[in-house]
Amino acid sequence: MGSKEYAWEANFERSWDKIQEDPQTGRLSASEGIAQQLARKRRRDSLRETLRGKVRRGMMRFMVLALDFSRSMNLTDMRPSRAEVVVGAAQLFVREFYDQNPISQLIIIATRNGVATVLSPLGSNPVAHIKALSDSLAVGTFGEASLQNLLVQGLAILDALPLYASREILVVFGSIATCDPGDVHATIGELREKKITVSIVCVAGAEVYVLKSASHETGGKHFVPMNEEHLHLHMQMFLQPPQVRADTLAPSLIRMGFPVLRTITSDLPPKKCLNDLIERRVGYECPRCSAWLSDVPIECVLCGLTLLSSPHLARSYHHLFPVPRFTEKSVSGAAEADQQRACSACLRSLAAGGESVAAECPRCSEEFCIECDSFIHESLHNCPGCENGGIFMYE
Amino acid sequence: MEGKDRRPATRSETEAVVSRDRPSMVVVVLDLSLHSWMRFVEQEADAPDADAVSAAQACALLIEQVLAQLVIFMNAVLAMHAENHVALVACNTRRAKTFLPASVAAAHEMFADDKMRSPGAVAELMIEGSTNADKLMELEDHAPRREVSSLMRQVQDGVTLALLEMLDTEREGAGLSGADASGGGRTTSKDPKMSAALSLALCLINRAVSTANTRARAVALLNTENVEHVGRLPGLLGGENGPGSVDVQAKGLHSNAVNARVLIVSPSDDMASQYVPFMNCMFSAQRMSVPVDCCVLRVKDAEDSKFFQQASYLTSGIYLRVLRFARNNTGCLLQCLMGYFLADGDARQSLRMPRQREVDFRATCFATRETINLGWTCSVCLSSFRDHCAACPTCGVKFKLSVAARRAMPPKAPALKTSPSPSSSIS
Repeated sequence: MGSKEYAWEANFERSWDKIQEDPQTGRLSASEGIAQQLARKRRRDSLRETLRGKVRRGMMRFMVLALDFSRSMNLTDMRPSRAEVVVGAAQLFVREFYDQNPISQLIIIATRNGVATVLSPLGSNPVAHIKALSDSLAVGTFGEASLQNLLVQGLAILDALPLYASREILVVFGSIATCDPGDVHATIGELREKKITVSIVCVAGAEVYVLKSASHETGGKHFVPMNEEHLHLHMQMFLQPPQVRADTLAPSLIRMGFPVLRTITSDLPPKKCLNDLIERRVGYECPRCSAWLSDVPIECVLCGLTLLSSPHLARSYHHLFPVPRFTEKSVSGAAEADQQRACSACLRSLAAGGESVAAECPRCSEEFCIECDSFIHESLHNCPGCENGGIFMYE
Repeated sequence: MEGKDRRPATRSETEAVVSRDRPSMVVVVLDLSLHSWMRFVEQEADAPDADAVSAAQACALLIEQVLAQLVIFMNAVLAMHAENHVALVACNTRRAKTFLPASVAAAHEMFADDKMRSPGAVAELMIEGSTNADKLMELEDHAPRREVSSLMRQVQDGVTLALLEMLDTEREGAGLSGADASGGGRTTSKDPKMSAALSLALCLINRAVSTANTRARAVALLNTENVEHVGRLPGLLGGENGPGSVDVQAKGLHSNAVNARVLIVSPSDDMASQYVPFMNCMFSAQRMSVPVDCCVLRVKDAEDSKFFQQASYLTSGIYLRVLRFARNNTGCLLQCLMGYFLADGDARQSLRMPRQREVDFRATCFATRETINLGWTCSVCLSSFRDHCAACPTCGVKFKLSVAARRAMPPKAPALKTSPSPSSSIS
């Protein structure tokens, strides 16, 4: 997408949605934007779920991302075309997925011309996935879509994988019909038996019965996004590790190695990385078989041990020890005492703009401004007040 | 639109806005836990002043010397660029506190963000009726004003206050725990409140970055009058899901209007009890592309800090252990500060910065606190253990034993059920 010279090449912008009229003064101001509102709601909901009881999350995930590359993706109800929008969203999803689920694995399959093919094999490398998506888009979108072929392919991949991980299929479907070799409902039944969840995002703009029933029967989610922004939002919902019922996963201990990052000094020759056969000076050494590998996480090429670094594990801990939801309190600029109140993290005055809202942590009773509230819950995952008081998350 | 000359921004123009000389913000996180600094004094315990009083005095003198050098460094940062900022967060074993900006008013002056509060601030500015020139003037009025000499005075005051207050609270704490020995195992922990200090530092940076980004975006909008292009400026986006942000994130560009970084100056050992919150801070810094520099002071023969090594590695900051730092040789600290940590993120790309040869990514066994390079990880809570066990001591889930696992199990299963959580099993 180069520079936009003409109005008809640009995105259609609903500028009136971004403005809100104040009911009392009639003054126009920028509204919070649907995306922010929904993001806020989503955060609330997931927090509520986690805090309500001991929710178990499938921290290790094997996910099949199944895309529709059929003729119907050529439609331009999303600009520039459905296919390009979906691939863009999928690339963003892949990047974020590995950021939030560093020890999980993803495989991408696609359907076009009535068959399903693997675009990029199961792995932990987002760059390879993203490249495969762009390459496949360049091939073109044509023929019919087949839901059953996608599901059978996904089933074949996931069935071989261990039971301790959560196994999911995420389908982004653009057609309103499916061209199947057999009974798709039989495949759905098989997936349900194998405890594989199927979630479907339908970008066709209409609810399709077979898609809805497929996700419903396997315990997945079904969304029909309204526009591009909405699609991104729905894709983001699959980033967080899913809640799982206790009976679906078989908990087990997994053998893992934690190698040290080493640099070979210049007086010694560099070693060949066993994964891509390129000579390197910086790399990891498998603690079990001493294989020289360029990057983690990876399964050791020689001995099959899962190799990780401890930050990979730590990246997922915030899902398990979330910051409690802050209670909102109003602060009026009029009261004398309120003038002194300030956010205890960034020192912003809470009563600066007359009426405003403060957020209070229920555990340490410190007050924060709304900006810090969202920063703490969305990015930091630490309450500065609780840390200061020595109250740790996992207690 | 009537009669105004509509000058569509060209690519080169928008790029010029991005690549211009960015101001920096340096948040210094200073560890003032006394017992760690005492080590430098104790190291020379064979010296004649071995008694407690003179040792404490020697320690105070040492800290004072270090702080004097830190003040020079912070002043140098202020002098590097007309819009540079410094902040100071100090911590000890009792608490962490922001000392610079010293008050709500000072913070307000530093960020000057009353116009820039909401994510919709820019749109609001656009709606309010007045000419572009007026709006630009107004923005200028709200830009941070500063006089370097007064800021330098503030730095000096902040550092002095930090020293006094932190030493006081620590002494108080020491007195308390002496009087009441059963005052809770955690409060008398010897770990500095590093995770709290880092959380505060990142909240400050978040405020600075979002304010600066909003301002830069508004200025760019007013200057170019071309929403499309500005929407694609990296990092200058208000909403997290704007159409432009997708483009930017897909390319992996994360450039903020202010070049923020954290500098940790610490003589302490790894804070094993704060592993999770510490790592949370690092991932957050990584996401904001804020490098975390670690200036580690250690007595001779002490081990390198695993935590700080990982922190610098993850956030592409600098890890530097000040060699030869000792009680009678504090001057080398200033050399390191000026030589390595003064350059901002942009300048570092064209400099040869110290690289870490070896980073220890090994995990710690949740039950025995041993460092392990080969272990068992619970698939439910991801805690790792040295030995195989029948049920997870952290989350209590019972494992199904595979044949391989049963074979690997030690003949006598260790009774691990007594340690309920990772934090309480240490300290």
